[in-house]
Amino acid sequence: MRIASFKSLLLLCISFEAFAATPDSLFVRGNEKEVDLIPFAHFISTPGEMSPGSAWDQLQHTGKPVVTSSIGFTKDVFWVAVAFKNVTHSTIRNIVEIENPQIDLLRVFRLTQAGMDTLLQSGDALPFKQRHLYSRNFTIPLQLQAKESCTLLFQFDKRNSSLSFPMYLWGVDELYNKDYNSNLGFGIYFGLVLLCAIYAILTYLFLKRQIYLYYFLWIVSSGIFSATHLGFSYQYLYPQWGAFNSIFRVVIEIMTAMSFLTFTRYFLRTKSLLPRIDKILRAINYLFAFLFVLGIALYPFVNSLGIYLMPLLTLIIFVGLVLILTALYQTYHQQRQEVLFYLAAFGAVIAGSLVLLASEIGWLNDRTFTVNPYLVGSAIELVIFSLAITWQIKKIFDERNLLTHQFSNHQQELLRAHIEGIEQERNRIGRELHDNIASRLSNLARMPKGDGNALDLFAQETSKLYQEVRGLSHALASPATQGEGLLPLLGELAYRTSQSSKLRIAIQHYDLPENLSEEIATHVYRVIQEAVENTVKHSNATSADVQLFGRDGELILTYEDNGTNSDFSEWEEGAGLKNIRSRIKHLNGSLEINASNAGMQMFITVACELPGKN
Amino acid sequence: MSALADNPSIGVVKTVQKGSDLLPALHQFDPDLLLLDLNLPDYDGFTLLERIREINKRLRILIFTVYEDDALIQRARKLGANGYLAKNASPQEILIALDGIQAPEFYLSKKTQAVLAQKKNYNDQFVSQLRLTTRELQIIRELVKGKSSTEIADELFLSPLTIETHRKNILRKLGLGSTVELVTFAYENRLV
Repeated sequence: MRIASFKSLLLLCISFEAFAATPDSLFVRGNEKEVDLIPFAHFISTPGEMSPGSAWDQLQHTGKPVVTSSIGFTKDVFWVAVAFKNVTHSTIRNIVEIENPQIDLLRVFRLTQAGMDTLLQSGDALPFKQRHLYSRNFTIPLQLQAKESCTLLFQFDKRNSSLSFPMYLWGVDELYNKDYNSNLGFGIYFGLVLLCAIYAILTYLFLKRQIYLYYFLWIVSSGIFSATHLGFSYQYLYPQWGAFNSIFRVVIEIMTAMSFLTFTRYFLRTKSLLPRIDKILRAINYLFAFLFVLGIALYPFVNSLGIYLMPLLTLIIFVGLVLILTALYQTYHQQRQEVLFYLAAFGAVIAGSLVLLASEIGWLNDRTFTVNPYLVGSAIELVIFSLAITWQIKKIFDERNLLTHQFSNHQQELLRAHIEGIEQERNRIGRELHDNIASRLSNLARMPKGDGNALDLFAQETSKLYQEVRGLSHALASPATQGEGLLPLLGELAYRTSQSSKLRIAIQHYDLPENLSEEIATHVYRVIQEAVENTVKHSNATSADVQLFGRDGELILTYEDNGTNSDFSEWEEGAGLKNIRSRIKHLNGSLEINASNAGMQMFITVACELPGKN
Repeated sequence: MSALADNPSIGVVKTVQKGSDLLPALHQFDPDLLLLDLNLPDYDGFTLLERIREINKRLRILIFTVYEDDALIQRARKLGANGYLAKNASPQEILIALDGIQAPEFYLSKKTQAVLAQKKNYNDQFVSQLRLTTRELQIIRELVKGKSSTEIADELFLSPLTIETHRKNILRKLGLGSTVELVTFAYENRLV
């Protein structure tokens, strides 16, 4: 590559036109063997309109570049003259490309003997379709006969903001090759943007956390911002709407800034961690919104107002960045991962921007990158933030899982305490009945009998009462305290039931583990007791089958009666079944109950070892 | 106790309420007979029984309690009690027991013996192995028709796992190895 040193205008600006520089270079790509750039070119900037003829006159008299551009919105028109010479013996076709899609009005004149031919009149103030070549950058076809030389005069009308105007001279094939490669890069970039946006919005829809919505808005608006900046929006979104491009850029810029700021607030949790900074950032957001509305309303006057608006916006953005940096610094010890993610992400964008800037200023030799460094940085940023989101989601789920785990542990604990409480209370009452009341009743029943019927009756009644209290105390007191294992207890239960009701209980057991813990035995006994009680109270059953099977570390309990179970729904809501359920749950077991006119069946499986006791 | 106090041939030397008072009292009064309740506020009656037998083999001990349970009676007997009397016994029964406890064999009142026999009889009758329940017969009939656990589960509104468990229960109970054997068994025993 050969870089011809030419005096060409290049105005560079970053961050809202705060900085201007004037490297002087024009680039020749592809066919530098064929075209010579004659070392004769000048540029001037003139305030307002001027005819190309008088501009050309002025250019010829200007020996040195004159920079009179002002910071912010300029009112200047830039004139550039460039001379070319075909050094070959055949006709060649070239294309001049100006890599800046945001030029309001561009006129290109070709100087001839007779005067000036207008080669091109274009710019984003005019519909896209009027262009000679459908390219996002401005392109001017240039055909040179053998040994022909010519001079082109460019008029840049770029009032709303000043940027650089890098110019390239391409051979036709070289331009198409370059476009093919760079479009591939853009395709990858915008594809990535789309993927991340879909990821963000799906995350939002599933998790319903606002941060993902703002992340989505930010991806979308910054993606559109990039597309607009590169000229794609104008080419594809609104090619007919000349003059819309300027306003759309401002809108999308403000939206990007607002969604970015909101996302940052949510991501760094400034609301809870740094409420004061959060308030200022929110105020900045409102200010953006206000300026946005103001900008739309005052669009017709924005050309004159812009001079004041731009420094203000620059200042606001600067304050915002300082606040974000402060927030990053102050919350580093509280949320290291978040801060590092954030710094890495924006570090990538800033690095990309700096590379681009350095190349435009001329610090880097090769000005043209196959891939735009800013887009590379931006892509890396998107990837990092999407990773950060994934990481956050994982964190949320880990926390939730932990909570659920703790919650269920707590519930299990409560259940255990509840059952233990019941058991203790039953025992206390049962023992009280037995030790105190039953004993005294038995003494009363032994009192000397008199002749009178009344006394006999009294003794009989007391005896009956004694029997009932004794039965009650048996039912209440924990079987474990009687210490004889599950089967004798069940036999006792079956016998007692047969004495007090018409229900006959048949008990079968197979392969019961010998070392069944007393706690499990107690629960199983209580479950059977509740079921028997239900059968006696609520059905007309005459027989019930209780079966216990030990198999594969599990205890299987089946209970069947032959009752009519008309009151089953009543039992279903009552304390008895609830008691059974909570005991089974406590043992991590399963329970199946069926009831019909043909009887009630209960099917229970519990582990022979208590849960959580290793 | 007043019933005992009225009888001239018997003298109550001491009544204690707590297990911890019992051993010193035995030492002090050296009685012929002890009426021991199994439920005491501080000690378990069985523990007490064991400790008494360690130091005194001669004392006649009559367990006097509310429980009328064969397992408890057998345990008391093993630990060295000489007899067992239900607490709701009438004064006459108590006197008979005091007489009967002097005999070398373990004393049980006629009434308690009857209750125990009744229980044993009940248990022999109802703690019967190999009895198929209604549900099990139902499942056997479906299995004989060649249905799978899932099909039976759908029909009976149960989970297939439950049916599977029932099937295993039945096989275990009848000592059969497979469903095929069960089908044969069902035909042979006219379960279907």
